[in-house]
Amino acid sequence: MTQTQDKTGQTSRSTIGKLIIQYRTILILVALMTVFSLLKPVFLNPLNLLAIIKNMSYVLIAGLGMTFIITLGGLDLSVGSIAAVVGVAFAMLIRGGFMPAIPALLIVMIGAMLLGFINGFVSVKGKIEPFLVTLATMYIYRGIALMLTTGRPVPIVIANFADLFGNGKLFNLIPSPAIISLVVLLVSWFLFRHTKFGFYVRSIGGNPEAARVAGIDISRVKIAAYTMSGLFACISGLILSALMNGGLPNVGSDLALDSISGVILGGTAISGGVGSIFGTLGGCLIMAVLNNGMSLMGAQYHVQIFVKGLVIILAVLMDNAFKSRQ
Amino acid sequence: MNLGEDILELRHISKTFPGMVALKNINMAVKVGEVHALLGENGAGKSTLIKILSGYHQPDKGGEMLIAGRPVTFRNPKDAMEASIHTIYQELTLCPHMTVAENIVLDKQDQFKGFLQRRHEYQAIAARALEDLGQSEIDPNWLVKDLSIAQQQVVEIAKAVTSKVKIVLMDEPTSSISQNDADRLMDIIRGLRANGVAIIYISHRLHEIGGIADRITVLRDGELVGTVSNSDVTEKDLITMMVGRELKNVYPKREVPIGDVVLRVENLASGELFKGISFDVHKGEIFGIGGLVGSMRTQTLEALFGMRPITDGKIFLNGEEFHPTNPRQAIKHRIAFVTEDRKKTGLVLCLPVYENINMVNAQQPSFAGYLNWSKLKAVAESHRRTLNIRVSSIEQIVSSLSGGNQQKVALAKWLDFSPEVIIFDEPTRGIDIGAKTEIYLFMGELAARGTAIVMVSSELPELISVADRIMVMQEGRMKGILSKEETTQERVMSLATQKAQQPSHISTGGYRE
Repeated sequence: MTQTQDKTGQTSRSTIGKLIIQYRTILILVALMTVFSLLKPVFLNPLNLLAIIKNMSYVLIAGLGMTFIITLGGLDLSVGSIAAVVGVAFAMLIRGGFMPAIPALLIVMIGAMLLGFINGFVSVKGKIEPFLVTLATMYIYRGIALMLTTGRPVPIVIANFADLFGNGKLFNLIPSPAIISLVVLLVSWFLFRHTKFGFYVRSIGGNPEAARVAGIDISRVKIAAYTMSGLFACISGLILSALMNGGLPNVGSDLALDSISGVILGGTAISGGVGSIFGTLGGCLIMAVLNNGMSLMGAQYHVQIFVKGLVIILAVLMDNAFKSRQ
Repeated sequence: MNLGEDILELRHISKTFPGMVALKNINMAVKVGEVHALLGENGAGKSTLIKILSGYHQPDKGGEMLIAGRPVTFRNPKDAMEASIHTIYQELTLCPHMTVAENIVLDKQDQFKGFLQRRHEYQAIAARALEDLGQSEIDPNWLVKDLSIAQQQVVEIAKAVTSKVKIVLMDEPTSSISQNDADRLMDIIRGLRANGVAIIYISHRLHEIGGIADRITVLRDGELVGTVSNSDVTEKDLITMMVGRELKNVYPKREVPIGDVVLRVENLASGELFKGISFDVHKGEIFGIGGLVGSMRTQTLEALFGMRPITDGKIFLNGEEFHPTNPRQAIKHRIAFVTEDRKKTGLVLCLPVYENINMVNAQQPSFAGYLNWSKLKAVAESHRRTLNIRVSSIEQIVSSLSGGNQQKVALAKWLDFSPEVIIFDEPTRGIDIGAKTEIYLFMGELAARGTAIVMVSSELPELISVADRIMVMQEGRMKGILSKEETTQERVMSLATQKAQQPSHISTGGYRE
């Protein structure tokens, strides 16, 4: 009799563990939001919540691209530099009416995809760890942005652009970066879950050898993923330059690590194979809520990054604690 | 403790994992100075029992373990060691860059006083232990990485003996050593037994158990079938106890009409790995390839599937020349490959069953790369039913399945594009007899549909019963092709091991075309 009791006890405990792992991102998020709204009721003000989403938009978008890359078992450290090149190049293309905005947008998008393509191509064909390739291109692309501008910001004076990517609001309420984020989020989710591309990414990340034997073209999928990460970095870069009304060669230096943090907090495994698009949304929200809540409480940036690091390590410890208990 | 008394007793030991019961109410006893064999199919619960005895797993509440009559609980492997149980695992756990002597004293540092190493004492202890085991040709100063597997095993045993253990657990100790070394190991085991050590010996090899064990405990599906005295039973009795049924239907063979040649290989070579391989496989035929480890059978299959460069020779598919340079091309030509190591090359373990089954199928053209998962799940479900894959749902993650079910998933992913040639590399390695039989039956079904099957197997009874013809390879050369009538275990073995430069005659054993 004691035996049966014990068995059910064990099972339910492990189910709770599983649920905690599955929903740990949401749990952390809800806990943080509860604490902040108790300490600072203004935190829950809808305008503040929308501001949080606006401020995290460029990290989220780069993070969504990063989710594919990390699920594939890689890393892309160059997204911040790509974002800077995009902002600078766009500002220079439209300066003094040299070119209308729409073709300039197309050019920087294609250019960013090319930079991403180079990451993937060099890593695949040169058989180099993506960490190393993108570490190098992080410097190279940053160098390009700095060389193009000799280190000085280039102003952007088109009001429509600033509205579309930066400070504009739909219905005078929802910030446009939030809307762009939502679109990119849904597209990413569809790609990840409902297309061959996402399926291949997950399969290759889980076991590249098995994917190869199953006939999946690993090189093509990898290069496509880095190209896509380049495109997503481009959108982040456009938002950043719209928010700042100019192309800044130094912008986005934290973008790669912040987006990686968001992905990891969202439960995507750094070893590859297991990833979650909505997890990345949750992970980026955690970091944004943390920044916002702490700012409201008057904490300085120094304290904020200290706490950010603590939260990352706690989240990963939580995963391991419940995993090893199973 | 005197000879014949129980040194170890298990009472009502059970072990439940989330979603499965690994052991149910096991009662057994091991006597001082006996070799007690633990026997059972894969998945019978042997590994779980070993892990409980060595402190890696804790049994469910309600069970009791007694050593020399006193109840014990192991919270971790160290507790088990301190209770004088020493486990020798299949994968040896020595430090390769340390000397034999250092390895032997590593777990007894408490005995030595002071901060400094005492090299000479270490060496003396090691030398004495090795001499006691009759293995004085192993020098205590050698580095472990330079020893053979069999010698490393001896070092493991020396490590146990010097700890004054009372119980030694050996998990498949002969699985990776030669016959000579195995014979020597048996002598060592007899020596330990004479010194009053109790040995729990786990092996699949029935004849080995027959030669060494005093008593045998058989497990099946996590339950105790019984403990018998070796002198009272035959191998056949043991098999019946293990599988719970008569063995005669383990290798079912379906007679299928043999059709035209589908796959023809002429003088195939890949660098120095293998050379001069020629054979053909007909519709409905199961073509076996036998040979020892290192005969390059797997490498030959990989060349057929585009995973290894072909440097000479030709492959024809339905009369047309075919030169694969990657698996994708082979798949396009309707060749499927069920690989030897399902975990390494056959499955993506972190993905669910239905995604693994659809890994090839999903590559069919679709609009904008859209995957209709509800349709693909239905496909997976139908394969699950055909192959009798036992899962709670096709959404289950593959890593949580048993070996047999994993192998069926690895096979299922090839079914939907109706391959003309299926290559099986060791299709039943490490899976239980029930699942084996199901896979043979399914191979028969595939043959009946007109598929040409190439199968590599190291298990001779399997190769001989299932294959229509058998090519034997040795060190990258083909030694002959035997027809069904010509095949005996002895002929296959002699072809696989003969040292002659040229085979006296290459029998083609072919069908008349």
